[in-house]
Amino acid sequence: MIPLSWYLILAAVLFGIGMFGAISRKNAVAVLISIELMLNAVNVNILAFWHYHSQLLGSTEISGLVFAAVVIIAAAAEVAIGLAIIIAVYRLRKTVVASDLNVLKG
Amino acid sequence: MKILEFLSNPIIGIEQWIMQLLENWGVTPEWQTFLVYLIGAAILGTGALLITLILIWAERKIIGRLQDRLGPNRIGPWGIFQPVADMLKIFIKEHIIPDGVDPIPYHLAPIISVASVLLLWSVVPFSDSVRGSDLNVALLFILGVGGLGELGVILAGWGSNNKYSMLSAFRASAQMISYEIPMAIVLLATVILSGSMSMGDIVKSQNIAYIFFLPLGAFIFFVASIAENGRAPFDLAEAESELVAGFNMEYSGLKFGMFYVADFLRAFTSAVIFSSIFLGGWRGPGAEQIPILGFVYLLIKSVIVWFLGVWIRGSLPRFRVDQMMAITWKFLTPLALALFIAVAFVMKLLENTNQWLQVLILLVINVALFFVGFAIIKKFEKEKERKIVSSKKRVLAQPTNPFTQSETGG
Amino acid sequence: MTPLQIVFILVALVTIVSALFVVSLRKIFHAALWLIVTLMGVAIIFALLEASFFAAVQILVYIGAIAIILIFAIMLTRNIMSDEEVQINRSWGIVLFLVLVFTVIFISQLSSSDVINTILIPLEFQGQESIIAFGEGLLDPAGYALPFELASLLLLGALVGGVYIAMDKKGGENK
Repeated sequence: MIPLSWYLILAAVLFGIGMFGAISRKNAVAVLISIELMLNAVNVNILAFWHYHSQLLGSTEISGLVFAAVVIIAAAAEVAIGLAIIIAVYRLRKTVVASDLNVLKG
Repeated sequence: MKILEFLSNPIIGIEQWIMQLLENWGVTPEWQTFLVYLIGAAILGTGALLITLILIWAERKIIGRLQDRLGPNRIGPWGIFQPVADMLKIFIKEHIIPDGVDPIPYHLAPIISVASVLLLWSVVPFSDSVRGSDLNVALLFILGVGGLGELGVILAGWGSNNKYSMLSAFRASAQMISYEIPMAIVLLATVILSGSMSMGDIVKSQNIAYIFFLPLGAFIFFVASIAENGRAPFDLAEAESELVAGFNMEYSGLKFGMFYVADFLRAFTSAVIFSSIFLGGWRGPGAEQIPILGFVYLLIKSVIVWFLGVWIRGSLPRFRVDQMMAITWKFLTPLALALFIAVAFVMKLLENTNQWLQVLILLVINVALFFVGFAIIKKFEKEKERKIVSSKKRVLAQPTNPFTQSETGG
Repeated sequence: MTPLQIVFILVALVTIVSALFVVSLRKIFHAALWLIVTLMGVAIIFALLEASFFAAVQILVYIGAIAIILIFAIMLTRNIMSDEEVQINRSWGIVLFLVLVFTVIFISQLSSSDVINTILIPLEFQGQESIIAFGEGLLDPAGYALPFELASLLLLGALVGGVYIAMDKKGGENK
């Protein structure tokens, strides 16, 4: 049987890797991919605690499932819009390197 | 009597014999279960692949007869050994790898295509107690794993380093993604009827087969699964006479054989799933007492559905890509949504009444929805009539023929 | 070591290694493919946690839709030369150091608390109970009907916004 801490350590490591990717990658699509990694790590965390609470309670604890469902929904919506924006910017500026999109920079 | 008992439920008998054997060898119960599951998965996968041999022969014979020709008839009586010859040829062909391919996607794509089809066999209930695994979200699993096939197509298109392969992969994956949606909504309607997402529960709760409850749903599911598979009339992705071979153009030898196997096996697998969900699966007279009969009933029902698919393949011409997209987005999806809402309402209102009354009312609503949908499509069709290009004789770019003296060269 | 623990360690290793490949590969298409492996690993973790609904939804939504849309976006925004340059910013050293510090602190604090070290045994309810409770809770006005409606509004907004952003300005519609 697997202790809760193992799941949380896995989630923390995944989150750290995703954070590294999101901050230090050049390509905008790569940043989105790393954000997806972070959201998945958060989901693992939420569902590990759901299991723990359901085990304590004896029956299903719904709020954990709802939380995880809303995270998945938000991630899907964000990827769709983010990629639409990236493709629109690519059509205009012919680049996807995130640091090249600095028109608003002071 | 023990032989009869064994024969009536052979798979459970073999499983118990293996577990007894492992117990005698001193294996702990957890590892016993694990090993039995492993052996069962290997047998299921191999069996599914072996069924493909029979399917290839049967399909080629039937399509040949539909097209007024004989089909394979040289190798063995009635050409029975034709698939063996095919397999031998595919095994010994040279693996030509084009220059500049991306090795990981190129080699992974056939594997993912076959894997996604084989995984579908793991949730089909073969009888009351025999199934790969009793997932309680089996319908979602079917949708998700069926969607992994799109991944195989995209990888094949990208990995081939070929513009035409990539174009065809785009079209094929757009088709497969679009047709997942009506499938998902109709499966949701089925979940309303049965109260559970597990395939075993769905088959068990079909005292009256769901095709009588939801004929329109069965129709939508059938069309959508033919389109997911990529068979005619939806085979524009690998239109053999147009795009050469589409996304599997650059594959040769066993890798192409994997795509081939995935195509044929997927047709039979969707027939099995259709008959489990809509036709009652392994249910039939005497199937609860003698589980092997359940297996036979499932086989008969899925062969009938598969034959329907082959019949359609041999008879209808191919759709254009915009027609194919219009069918799903403008016809099947709104119809499936309307059906879902209607089923939700009706089942709540008629919750505790007789099942035959429910069937009758749902049948009427289904037929009404179908005709309403069709009428709306027809009405919109009339508004989009094409303008006739001017019918005067056009000037042709041809030198005038001094012998015929006509001015347009017609 | 029970088989379940061995399975967990294997899956966790595969997930972490493919996540490392995701953030460090130069060719972004390969990074997307390793993302798919990572998502599959996370789906198996969900199945180990007995959240079977979410394992299936992860495969259906993340791998079947989000990963494919990411691959489409990569293919549509390809530059000929962009796969050969260095793909990491100049600040990668500092970020690596900070991420390592964060992770080490987190993991060291995790192993000491009592609550965290409880063993997760398989749950006792079986079958459809958790999914039925989930469905009823999502539609219950005293439950989570409001987040459910808001989430569907979010999806509607994403749908309309996506179509608008991707539309051809000449008035035609590009799906």
